[in-house]
Amino acid sequence: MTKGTTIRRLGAAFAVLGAVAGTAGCDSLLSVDNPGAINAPTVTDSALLNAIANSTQNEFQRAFTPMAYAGAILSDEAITGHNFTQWQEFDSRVVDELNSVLPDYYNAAQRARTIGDDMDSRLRELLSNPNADIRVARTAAYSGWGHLLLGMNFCDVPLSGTTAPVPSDSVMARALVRFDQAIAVANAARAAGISQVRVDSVLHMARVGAARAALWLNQRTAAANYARLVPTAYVGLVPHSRDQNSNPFFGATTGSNPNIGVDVRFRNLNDPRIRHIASPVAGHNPASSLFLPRQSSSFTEWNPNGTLVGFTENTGVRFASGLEAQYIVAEVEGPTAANVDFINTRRAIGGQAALGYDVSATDFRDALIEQKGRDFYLSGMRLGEIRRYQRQYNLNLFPTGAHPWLGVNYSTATCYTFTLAERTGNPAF
Amino acid sequence: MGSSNRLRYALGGALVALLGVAGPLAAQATGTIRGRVVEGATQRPLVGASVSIPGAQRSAVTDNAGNFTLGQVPAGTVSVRAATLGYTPAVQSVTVAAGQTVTVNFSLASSAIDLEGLIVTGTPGAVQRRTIGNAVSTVNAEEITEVSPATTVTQLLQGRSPGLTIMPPSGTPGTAGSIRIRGTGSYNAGNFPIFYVDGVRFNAGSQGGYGVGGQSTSALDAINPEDIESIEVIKGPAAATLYGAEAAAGVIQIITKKGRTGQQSIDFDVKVEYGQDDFNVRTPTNFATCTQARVALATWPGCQGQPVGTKITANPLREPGILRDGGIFSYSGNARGGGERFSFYISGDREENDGVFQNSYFDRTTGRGNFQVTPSDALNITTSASYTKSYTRLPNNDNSSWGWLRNSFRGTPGFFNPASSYRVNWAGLGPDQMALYDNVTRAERWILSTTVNYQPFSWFRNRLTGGLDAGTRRASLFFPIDLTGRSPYGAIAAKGTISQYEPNTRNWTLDYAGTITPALSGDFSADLSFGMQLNAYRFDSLEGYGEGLTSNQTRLISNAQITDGFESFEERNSLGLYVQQQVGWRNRLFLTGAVRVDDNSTFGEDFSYETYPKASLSWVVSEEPFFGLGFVDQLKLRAAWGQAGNSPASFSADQTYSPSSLVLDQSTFAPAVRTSAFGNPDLRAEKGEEIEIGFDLGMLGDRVALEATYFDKTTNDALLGVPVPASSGFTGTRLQNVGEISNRGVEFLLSVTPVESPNFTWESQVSFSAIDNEFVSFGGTRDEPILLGYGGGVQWVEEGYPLGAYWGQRPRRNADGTLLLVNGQPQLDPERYNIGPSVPSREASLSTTMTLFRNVRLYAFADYKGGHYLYNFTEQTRTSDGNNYYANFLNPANNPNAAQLDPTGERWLLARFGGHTPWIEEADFVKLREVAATYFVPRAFARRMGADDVSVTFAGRNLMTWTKYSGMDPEVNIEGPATFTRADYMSVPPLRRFVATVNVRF
Repeated sequence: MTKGTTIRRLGAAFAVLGAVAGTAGCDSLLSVDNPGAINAPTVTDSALLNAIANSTQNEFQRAFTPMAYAGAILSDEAITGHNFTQWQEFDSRVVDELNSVLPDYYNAAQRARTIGDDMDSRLRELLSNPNADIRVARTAAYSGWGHLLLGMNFCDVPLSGTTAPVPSDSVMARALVRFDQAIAVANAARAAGISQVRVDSVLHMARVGAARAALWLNQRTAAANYARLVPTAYVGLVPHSRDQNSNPFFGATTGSNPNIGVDVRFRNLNDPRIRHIASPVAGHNPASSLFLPRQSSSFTEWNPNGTLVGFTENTGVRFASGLEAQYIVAEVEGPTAANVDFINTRRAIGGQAALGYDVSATDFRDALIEQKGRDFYLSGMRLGEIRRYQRQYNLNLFPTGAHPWLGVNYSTATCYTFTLAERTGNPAF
Repeated sequence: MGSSNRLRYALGGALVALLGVAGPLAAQATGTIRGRVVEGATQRPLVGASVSIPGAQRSAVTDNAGNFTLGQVPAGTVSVRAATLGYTPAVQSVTVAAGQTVTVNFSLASSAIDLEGLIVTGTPGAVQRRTIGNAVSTVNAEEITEVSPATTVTQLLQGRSPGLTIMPPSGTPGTAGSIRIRGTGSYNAGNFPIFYVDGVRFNAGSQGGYGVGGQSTSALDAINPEDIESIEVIKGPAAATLYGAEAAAGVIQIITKKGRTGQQSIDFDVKVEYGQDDFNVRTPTNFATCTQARVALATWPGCQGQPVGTKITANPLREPGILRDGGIFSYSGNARGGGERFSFYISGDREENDGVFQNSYFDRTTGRGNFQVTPSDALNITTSASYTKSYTRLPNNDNSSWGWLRNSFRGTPGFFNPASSYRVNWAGLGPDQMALYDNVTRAERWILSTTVNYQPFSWFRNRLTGGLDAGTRRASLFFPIDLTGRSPYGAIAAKGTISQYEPNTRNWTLDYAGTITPALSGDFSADLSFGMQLNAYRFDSLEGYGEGLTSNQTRLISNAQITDGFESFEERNSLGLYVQQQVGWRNRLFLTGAVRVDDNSTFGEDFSYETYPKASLSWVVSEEPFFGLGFVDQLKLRAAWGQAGNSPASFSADQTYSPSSLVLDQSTFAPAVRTSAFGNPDLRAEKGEEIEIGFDLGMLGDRVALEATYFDKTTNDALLGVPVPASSGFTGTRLQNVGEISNRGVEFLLSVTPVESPNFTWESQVSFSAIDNEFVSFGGTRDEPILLGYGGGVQWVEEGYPLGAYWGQRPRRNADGTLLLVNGQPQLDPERYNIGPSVPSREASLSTTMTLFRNVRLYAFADYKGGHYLYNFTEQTRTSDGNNYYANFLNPANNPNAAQLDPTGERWLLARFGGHTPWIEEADFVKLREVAATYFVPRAFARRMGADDVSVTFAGRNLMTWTKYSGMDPEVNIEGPATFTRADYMSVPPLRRFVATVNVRF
């Protein structure tokens, strides 16, 4: 064999080798496995039905308590002890889309809002009678709560990845649509034979949410009508577990660097519904002085007899309740005898004197706001509520004047905003 | 025969018998060549020089005395060639008679322009430097470790190659730094060059562990510098084309020491090193004022009995017993030798390096065996195996609230609150609590490789390399049960917790290269090369966690009351095929063209493969007849153009959901899914394209050498994470190939030997590089900059400016120049301005070695980095806290005279309210990096001790810093290996080191 022949044969052999490797071989050589994720097209697999049905609730529960924490900082419920300037800005009512902490909360709230629509469409592909399926009702109800979370805490936000921001009223209106859908499907499910207990758990939650959304929209009669159908003993909880979705108030109030303290308005009220340590301690920032909160009445291990109970990772939070429904009815109806009795019952818990039945509408409203603030302390309601009071009653309960330790005066923000990523990635901006 | 020689020959004989491959003794038609290779100027023996008979497959390597033996040399007249790194090769003709021994001695002249030296990185096989059209830096590690106190690969590389930027790790032993070559070429796909060890891909990236505030353990520390012969650095796409879709950031190949074929004996080398690190930089002092209230308060014991207005100070880190001298103790040994057809190198090393904090250490044990067998003249097999086991205990620092520096630098003098303090003067935890922090990573690393060189015909060479880089770690984090009742590390840790994290990496390499060299007529030569590289990477990890221990003696996770487990996985494969044609003319003009085709599992499913071409020209113009510059010895002109890629991260092309768990109650869960990655099916590698031109010049008898290079590198289709709007239901970013990044620069390396005589030799090397980095375009995907870094985005990625550059905001002022305040807060101009780059844009180094009377060698190495800035977040935070001068003496709340001292209190206000700009400072510096003095015991005296060579070295590292930067050290970074984040926040600076070393060869 001549050298030329050898070269030609070697060349041919390598060409064949290359062609083999480059075609059939490449695919198998380069195939990889990702056991930690589900490819998007397969999220209509019937084996995933339960997971799809649970996902909206899951996303809401993961967003809710962190948002309660953030809402407390921006509102008059709590002050920060963080050393991070991002939190100091929030606490001094400066909200900027450049704030690097903001995405944690905005993203969570948007995910809680959007996943309901995503999962609703997937459920409808998998179910034979979706309009009477309690899983569709539950998804719609939690989708409504996801909308509430976004609408109460954020200013104008987009409602899809390609549309421009809309005001909170639009978000609340869409929440109301979801709650109405949940109520309709739950009632249909009951007619189809689903147990009363399962149906009621969805109906009560949806009605509280619908009442809150309607009240925000100033549809006061509708709000009261939704609320009246909620049993006073009803409690909807966001449970937490140290294993999966731990309660953020635990980390914020324990260890050598706590970062949240009770704000002036709620300190030393001698009210068992709001608990905090007796003497302040320095927080993450040594200059801070924090009355660390302990479990208040919206938290699952709260002890009404006066004993301080610290937060744990497992501490659950009340997010919807018959108590709130009563407040909504009372706010809409004003100082009727029944409503005055209701408020006086709440005042008695904190050792406050009873109101007379001749209390003025304004005083009654102020007393109601005061009691509602105490009853739902740190449970994610306050920021949205004081935004609503400002708009509907021209009542500014946001902190003003000098901040307790930052050495500045409060600024003027009243809500969180969308993020820079939203503005950059959304073509509608 | 002395005892050492007896031992040497006995061990050599045993190894010969063990391997069973001892060559036969000289045949009748052959003879033997013996001789010695010495350095021309000093007549010192050159150890490890290669002596060969070109074309006859006969080679040997010199021993510790510079001696060599070439056996089985065919009788007749042959050419004998001696060569070693850094010296001009020499060839002598000698006539060998059958059965006889002839002596040939070589005296080599040092040469910085080593055109005959072999390069193995970026080429299909080993080729002479003269044929290569791009710059290749070769770091002579063996020579550096003789004089330098460098104990890590990072230290070994620092300042040795122009264009190679090392941002060193913190002063905590075992931590990782950052390496980049020719600037920042990627925003998303990483800027860390890829590493090879003897042809096998080595994973130099982070393998994870438990965080300590910013620093992480270093993968490169698995390699013992004493085992390295040389390091080749190829710097960009023009040179790295043959490495394909992951090589755009450059390639660094570590070539380990090998045995000495033909030596017929064993050399032993033993080294013992003893020294210490110390925290010699200035640490900040905290200030407080004893106000009327403080004097009366029990929480201010430092003010008790003091007059009102007393200024008290503290420097907690300098309190007795806090810092210690970080002891260094290492001992290493190696043996190398070989017979006619085999050689070996075996080494062992133990290093113990205590950090300056009580809960800090790095201990490493390594072993390596390199074996070469040459069964026939056509076949050579090299097998290497190395094993490293290390233990790294990391203390908290940087951005950790449990950190030593944080709790010292932010402490309030004289203050102690029983509810929140642990020791007067300290913020948060005190030293006793911080010393309890027990975070240890045990790392084991195997690097296995086999290379077969087969040359069936004189015109056909083949090289096949297969290997595995396998790393197994166990990171352990233990919090003992808190017995104080104060839960210093939080309520959960107080119950006693144990965490174990076990990441495993496997990196397989299969690399084939074939070269056909047809015999062409006339002046031309040609090499046709072709090859294939297959790389497979796997990462998996298991993590266990136990909470609620029964006793501090029971540390098993299964002993805990609550247990958890976690798992992660990553996989990527790549395959590349290439062909290269090189044509030479009269052995002085070389034209090379090549193309590589790559596919990678990280590419999107709608994209198939990448193609990377290259072309280069090398012209040794000094060998042209018309070249008439007599003072120029060698001049090579070179130019290269090429492309290489930078692949995206694993799985980033996929659109996925992730499994999740809905919490029903604290112990009951239900399945759920969450949106996860919004992948891009069109994803592909970003493409780096580079043109470089330069020359290598040697003149004045090779006393002066200059390498100069200009390069222009553009990253096209740069991967950018385009934000996914959360309103879509997905979050994070989606990679798209849309950006463009440019790096242009120059590199110079000047080597000078001003004096070269038997009793005094002085050699110096000066390097300089400058780079202009620019992020050119977002590709129309966004108008806003990308914000990075600490302090709310002080670093930006913005079109027209360096990647990760610092940006600032000027405070708005009143007409009288004072700060404009609204609600007591300064107002910042919304218009931001570019301050400057966060990584050096200019670098220079100077190393100089003087050898006196053949017995004393003095060495010094200094380097400069400049043109960049550093965010002094430490001082900004201290200012806003109130623990330094500004806050305590200029804050009217603390000092009634403040208004006179500083009417505006400007820095204090800006520090507290986001005005980070005053703390972004110029970070230029010059460091006296290394100084060493070595005494070589006279050989006659050494021999009386039974050794060939004995030397004693005293060396220091990080001895002096000259800088205007106001922080502790301009080289610190809050996250050592971070790609972009650059900030000084409570980071341990590179420590001063003194070591004494005894090196014995026998």
